[in-house]
Amino acid sequence: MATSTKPKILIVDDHEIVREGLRTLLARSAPNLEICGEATNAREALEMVRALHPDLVIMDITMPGTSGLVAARRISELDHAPRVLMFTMHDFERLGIEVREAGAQGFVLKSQASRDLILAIQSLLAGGTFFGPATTTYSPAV
Amino acid sequence: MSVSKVPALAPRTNLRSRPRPSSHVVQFYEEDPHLIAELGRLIGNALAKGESAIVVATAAHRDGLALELAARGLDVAALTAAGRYTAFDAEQTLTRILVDQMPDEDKFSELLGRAITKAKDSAKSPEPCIIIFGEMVALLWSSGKHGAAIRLEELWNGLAEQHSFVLRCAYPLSAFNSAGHSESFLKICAEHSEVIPSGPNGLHLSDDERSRTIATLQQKVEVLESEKALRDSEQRFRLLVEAVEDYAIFMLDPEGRVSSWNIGAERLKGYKASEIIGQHFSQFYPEEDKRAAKPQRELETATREGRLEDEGWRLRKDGSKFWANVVITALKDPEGRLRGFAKVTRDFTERMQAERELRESKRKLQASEKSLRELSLHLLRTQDEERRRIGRDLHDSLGQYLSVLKMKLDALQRCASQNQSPELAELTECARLTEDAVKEVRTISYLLYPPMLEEMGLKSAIPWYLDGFTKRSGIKATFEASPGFGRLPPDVELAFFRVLQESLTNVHRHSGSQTATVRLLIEGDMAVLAVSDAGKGTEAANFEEGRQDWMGALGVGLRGMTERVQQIGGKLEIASSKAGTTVTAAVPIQKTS
Repeated sequence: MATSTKPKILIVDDHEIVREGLRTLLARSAPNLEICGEATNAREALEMVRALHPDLVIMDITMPGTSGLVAARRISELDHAPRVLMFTMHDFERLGIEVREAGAQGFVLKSQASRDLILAIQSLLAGGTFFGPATTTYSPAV
Repeated sequence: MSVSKVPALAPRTNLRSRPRPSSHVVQFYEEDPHLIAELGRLIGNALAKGESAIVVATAAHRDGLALELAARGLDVAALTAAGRYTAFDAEQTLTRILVDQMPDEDKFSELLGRAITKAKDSAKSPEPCIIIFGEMVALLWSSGKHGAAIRLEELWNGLAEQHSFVLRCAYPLSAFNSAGHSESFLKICAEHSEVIPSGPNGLHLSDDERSRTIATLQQKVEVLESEKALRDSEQRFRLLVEAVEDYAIFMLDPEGRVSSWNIGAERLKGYKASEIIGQHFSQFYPEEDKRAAKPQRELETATREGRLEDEGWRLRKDGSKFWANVVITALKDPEGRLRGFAKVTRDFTERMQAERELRESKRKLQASEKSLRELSLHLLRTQDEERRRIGRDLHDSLGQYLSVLKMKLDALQRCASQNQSPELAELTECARLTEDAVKEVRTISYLLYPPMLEEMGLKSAIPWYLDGFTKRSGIKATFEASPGFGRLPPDVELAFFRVLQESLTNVHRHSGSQTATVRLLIEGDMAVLAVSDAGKGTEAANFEEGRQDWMGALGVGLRGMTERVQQIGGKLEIASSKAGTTVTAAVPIQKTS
């Protein structure tokens, strides 16, 4: 197998527009990364992790069928498991705890992708985690 | 009254201290011929010896006595003309001596004294002995004037102080047949010097014999009394049974043939007594019952068990049916032999129909309550599904678009910054607005249906909800969860979450509490959600109605929650006091992690 120096990234999101946005962002901001595949649900994600051996999985939480957190748990239990970064619209206090419990190493809010995503990818590929700045910023209508 | 008491009253010297006729005999007779024969013997002998006689008797007895005397060879007409035989009509004489229903002493003494004097003067013997037979007392007695009868006996005894005579009174024994007569009977005996039993041969008796005679007569009187009482009682009972209109009461012989029939039976079944007596009672049963030998079985059961109660259709004479309540009682004699059956039948048609309608109404009510409950649950489910769908749509489509739009605006903003583009400020503003739009969409979708509830469960969803609740209400809400508390089935988690929403809405609106505590516990095999406040307690009515919760969605009230929790096999309890209110939802659960 040809050795590639580029870390391999698997994108998992059920929305084409999000995957497209991610591709654009990564192509522009991190050309050293290789997007090795795109999955649209948890089942495809597991198959592609086994087949493609990515270094990092960027995965949505809310997807049809199995949740991204459940998929993260299963991926983390594989031999030579890749790093997993949750990429989500969810924004609440316990998100970090849930992500850790699922066996993933960090999360980035979709609305903060431009600011946080590259930092998070770099952190995880270097063996670290990314749980971002405190992001419980919503304030419900009263 | 027992016989043994009689001798104490019986001896002649103890009966009275007042003078009485040389002989004042009372005769109790059962049949007229015995009386006439006895009088004929007594008076006939006296007249034959040249004595005189006075008779105060009923027309029948006067006629009977005249025939008897004639049979003894006496010429009654001649004796009457000679003044030696005087016959008065007892009734007419009574009317002459009664004043205010009581015998008047003066009138009695004058009338009878004159008759006695005349009889004495007419007698042929040198020391005449007058025989008197009197029935006025018996007439008074028979017409119920017992006091007057006794009084007249006393007057006769008083007359004996002025005149010497032999007096014979006679009472029909059948006149002593009512309760209390035996006491009066003894009083009458006490007014007499001798008592002659009924029967063909009157005898003059010794004191001992006299006592025995009184005792015997007294027994007879008592038997008459009780027979009369029994007859009266039977008569009253028969009249009662016959007069009962609302119940058919009739008797069957041991084979089941009708042997008596009351007015109620006639009304209920339509047969007159003359039509049905002697007929077999199976004709009251519908054909199918007859084929199944039900009438015979019912008699057998009643015979075996003494009594049988049944309800079912029976037929009237015109063939129409009625719903009958029937009680058949077996009638057995003291030796246990079956003598027949008493049957009481009531028309329960209206009652049966009323009961049937009541049951039907209850069933309908229960059915509509059930469908209301089902509708209510269906509405709850529909509402949940609708909220979830809208929430998802907002989050998954609009939210994603806005997120990607934000990413791209961010990228543009970076380019503009590098190129020092004049549009940088505008782009920055666009990115900020997009960020706000993302937050708004996220908030709205979460409020409709918290995605973290499904994704991460109550332990994530509750703190998120409490955070928003505290910001809005100023009520400090704390959350505790058992360490081992894991995920629950989705419907349980959703039910708990809705209970939480309703409970906190109540805390905010009614309790006045500044704090609220939410706990998630595992107790045995129950998952428990408890929401407590430290408020002033809440009126039960406040739990009933639906409220707008802080999400702006229509609440369904805790009563709706109660049904919701019940539907998943759990229960909801509300404990409220002045120290605060606790709402507890508990659902049995298989532990899952």
